[in-house]
Amino acid sequence: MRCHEVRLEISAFLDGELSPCAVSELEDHFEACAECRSEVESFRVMDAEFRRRLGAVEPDPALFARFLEARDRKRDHPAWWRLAWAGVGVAAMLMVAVFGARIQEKRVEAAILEQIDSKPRPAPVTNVFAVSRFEQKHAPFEYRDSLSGRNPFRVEGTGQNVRPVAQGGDR
Amino acid sequence: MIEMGGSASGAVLRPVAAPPGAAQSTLGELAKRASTDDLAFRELYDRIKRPVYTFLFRMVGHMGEAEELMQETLLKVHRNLSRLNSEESFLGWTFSIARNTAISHLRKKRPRVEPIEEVAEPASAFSEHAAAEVSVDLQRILLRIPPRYRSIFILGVIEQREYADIARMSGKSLAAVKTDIHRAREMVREQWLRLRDGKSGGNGV
Repeated sequence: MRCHEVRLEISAFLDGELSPCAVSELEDHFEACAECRSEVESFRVMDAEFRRRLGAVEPDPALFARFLEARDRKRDHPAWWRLAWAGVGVAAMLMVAVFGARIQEKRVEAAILEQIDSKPRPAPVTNVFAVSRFEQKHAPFEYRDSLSGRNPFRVEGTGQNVRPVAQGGDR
Repeated sequence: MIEMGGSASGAVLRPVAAPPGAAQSTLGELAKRASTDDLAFRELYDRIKRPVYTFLFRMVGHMGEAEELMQETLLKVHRNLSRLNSEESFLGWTFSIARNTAISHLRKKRPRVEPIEEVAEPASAFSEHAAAEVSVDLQRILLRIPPRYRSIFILGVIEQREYADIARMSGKSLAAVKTDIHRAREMVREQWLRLRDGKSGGNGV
């Protein structure tokens, strides 16, 4: 065995976690190698000192009574996170109820509008080429559909979307 | 066998000596009853309190903090008793809960600036002070290494628990435990040699 392989096994050797075969192999190496022997001795001394100095510690005799109190308190007063989750649950249920009602309302609205739209109406008569001088000045490149020649975003006849575009819009 | 006793903080359950001939229940048997039977839980506690509390104290180096962690561990153990696998060792299971509680506590908290506490160790009047000083130094070394390695050093080296038990407690493979214990030993030794060098005036070991 080489030294670097032995070093990796030293802990398991000291903790009695190696097979008898591996132990005797390591012991043979320690016989021959002073450096590894000193390494294992150094760990052995350190382990013994920690075990001797850092012995067992007893908890406060009243600790169990305090545990019982804490447990009963938790039973009587649920933890804040439980209350928080209950709050989240109630809020989620309320949201579902409100959105459900709103969706139903929209459906009814859509049904009514569909009924209204299904009635025949006269087509709006508009002169698509009549562009005001104001529009020519401020929106010379107003979008127009190539087939219909209309601006589909424009509310016909009201002039609501006739608004000045940024200066220099003629680029 | 347990009797009820009064205290400032309410009723306390105290175990009393079992009558001669009465068979002592195993930890597994007690654990089965403990979720509904406080007397059984008290008996369980009495059997595990010393190793578990010692482990927690070594992890944090402060008695008040260790007691808080012990209480938290007991609460978790009591709450999850029904989940304990009958094949599993109760002590090992409790250790794994204590270990996780301590590590998550150490992750959250800021480094302590107060001096490290040490409990009185049995020692002669002359050497008492020196012994306590050495214990504080060793505890300080433990607190300097990362909690993950600290826990494995306490369990594997100081408490001398088997690698297989530690692997079960920490949910790691045996090979990983072996590597971690070796790494932890090296980290501790580095600090320990430095301490020894300092005390011997830098003459080396």
